[in-house]
Amino acid sequence: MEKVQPKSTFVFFDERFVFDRASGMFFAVSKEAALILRSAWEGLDRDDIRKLLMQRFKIERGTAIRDMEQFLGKLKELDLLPPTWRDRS
Amino acid sequence: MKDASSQPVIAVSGLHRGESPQSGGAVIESIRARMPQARFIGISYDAMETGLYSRNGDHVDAAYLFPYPVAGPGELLKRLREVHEAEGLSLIIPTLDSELENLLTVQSSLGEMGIKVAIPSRSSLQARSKSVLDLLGKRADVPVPRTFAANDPVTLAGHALNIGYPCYVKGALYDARLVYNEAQLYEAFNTICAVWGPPVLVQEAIYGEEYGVAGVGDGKGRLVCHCAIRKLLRSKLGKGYGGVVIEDPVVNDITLRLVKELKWDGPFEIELVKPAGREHHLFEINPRFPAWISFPAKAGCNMPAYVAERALGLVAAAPGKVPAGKMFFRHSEDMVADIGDVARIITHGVTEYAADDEHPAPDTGEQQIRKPVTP
Repeated sequence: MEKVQPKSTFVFFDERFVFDRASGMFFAVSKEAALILRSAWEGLDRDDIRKLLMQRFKIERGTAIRDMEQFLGKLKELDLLPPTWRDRS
Repeated sequence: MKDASSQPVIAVSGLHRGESPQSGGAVIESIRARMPQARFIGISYDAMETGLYSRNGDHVDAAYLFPYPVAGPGELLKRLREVHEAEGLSLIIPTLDSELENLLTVQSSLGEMGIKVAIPSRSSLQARSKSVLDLLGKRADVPVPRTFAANDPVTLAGHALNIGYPCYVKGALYDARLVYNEAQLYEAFNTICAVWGPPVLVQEAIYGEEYGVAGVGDGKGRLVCHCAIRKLLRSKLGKGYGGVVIEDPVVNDITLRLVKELKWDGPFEIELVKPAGREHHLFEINPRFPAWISFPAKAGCNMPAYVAERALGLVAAAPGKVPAGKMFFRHSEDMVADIGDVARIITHGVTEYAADDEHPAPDTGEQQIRKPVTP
C-alpha cells in the first residue's frame, strides 16, 4: 500500500518565517533551512533534499550534507519532523 | 418595561480592564457590535473598576454598585430587584467566578421577574471545580496536574511533599502562587485563605506552552463554537497579553471531550499546558468568557453576541471560525475621568453614561474581517 504523506501544519512567509498552525509556534529560519523543512514534509528523502540544496544554493556536496544533517538533527530535537522521519537516525 | 427583543437591557459584571483584566468590557464591546440598540448595565463591586469610566465601545450605559458576592444570594437578589425596577433587565451575563453560586441560587426568582441568566448548571460548575478537576480529567481522558485540597497548612504541606517542590498553591476560585519550599507554602496558604477562604489547593507545577480555548457549549454535550490560542506576552500575573489562533486537532478533541462530559451550557475558557514532548495537560476550566473574548469577536467569531441572542430567544446563528494565525495584542491606554464621576458612584451607588461633544458615542458597528495575508 502506498504511504500517505502527513500534511504539514507549517505556513511559510517569504521563505524565511515559519508558523505552525497546530502548535502556534513561529520562528525565523534561513532560506536553506526553510527548504529542508518544507522538503521533509513534502516527502522527499535525504538524497533529494541534498540535491535540491546543491542546485538551489550552488553549494558543494559536502557543505550540503553537513548543513542538512545539522538542521535535521535540530528539527528532530524540536519534534518538528514528520512522523516518517522521526525514527530515522 | 422595555421590549427585550427590540431593546434588550443586559447586565454585565467584571468591568475592570487593568493589570488583571476581567472580561465584562470585552463582552459588552462584542455584543454592542451586533446589537447596537442594547442597553448595558454594569454590575460593579468597586468604584475603581476601570470600565466604569470608559467612553469606548466597551462602555456601560449605567452601572450600579453591588454588595460583594460573600454577602450571599439574598443581598444579591435585593439589589437586583432595585436595579430591575429602574432598568427592566432582560439578561445577566456574569463574568466573575465568585458570582455564580449566588446567581444559581436566585436564578428561579430572576426567571419569575423575566430576567434570563447566562450561567451553566450547578452540576457542570461543580464538576470542573479545581478540587475535583482530576476526576473530570479521568472521565474525559485528559491529563491533569496532581492537585490536592486542604483546610489547614499542615495537611497542605504534606500533600506538597508528595507532589514535590516547586508547586502551585491556589485558591478554590482565584489566585495561584508558585512556591519553592514549606515556608513559602505556609505564607501563600495564609494569604490566600485570608482573602478567599478555605479550601486551599496545592498543584503540581507543569511547565510548557500555554493554550487557551474560549467557547460556548449548548448544554446537551455539544460544542457550538470555539477559538483556541497559544498565549503570548504573559504578564507577571500570568495573564496573556497576546495570543495567536491555532488549529490543532488534539486541542479541538480535548475541548469536545470536556464539553461533552460536562454537558456545558454557555461560555467557558479551558486552559491547557503542553510540556515539551508530552501531552497537553488540563490546567483549569473557567466558567465564563476570558478577557480576550473581544478578539475572536472582531475576527468573525462573536461568541458573546451569540450567547446574548440565544438567551434572549432571538435567532442565533453559530459564529464562524477564526483562522489560524490571527493574533491579538493587548494595548493599554489611559482614560480621562473626573473625581466627580467617582464621587457619584460611591455616594449614589449608580452612574450613567452620557455622550457629549468631547466624547461622542463611539462607532459600534461590527468590524470587517481582514482578509488573511497570503504567505
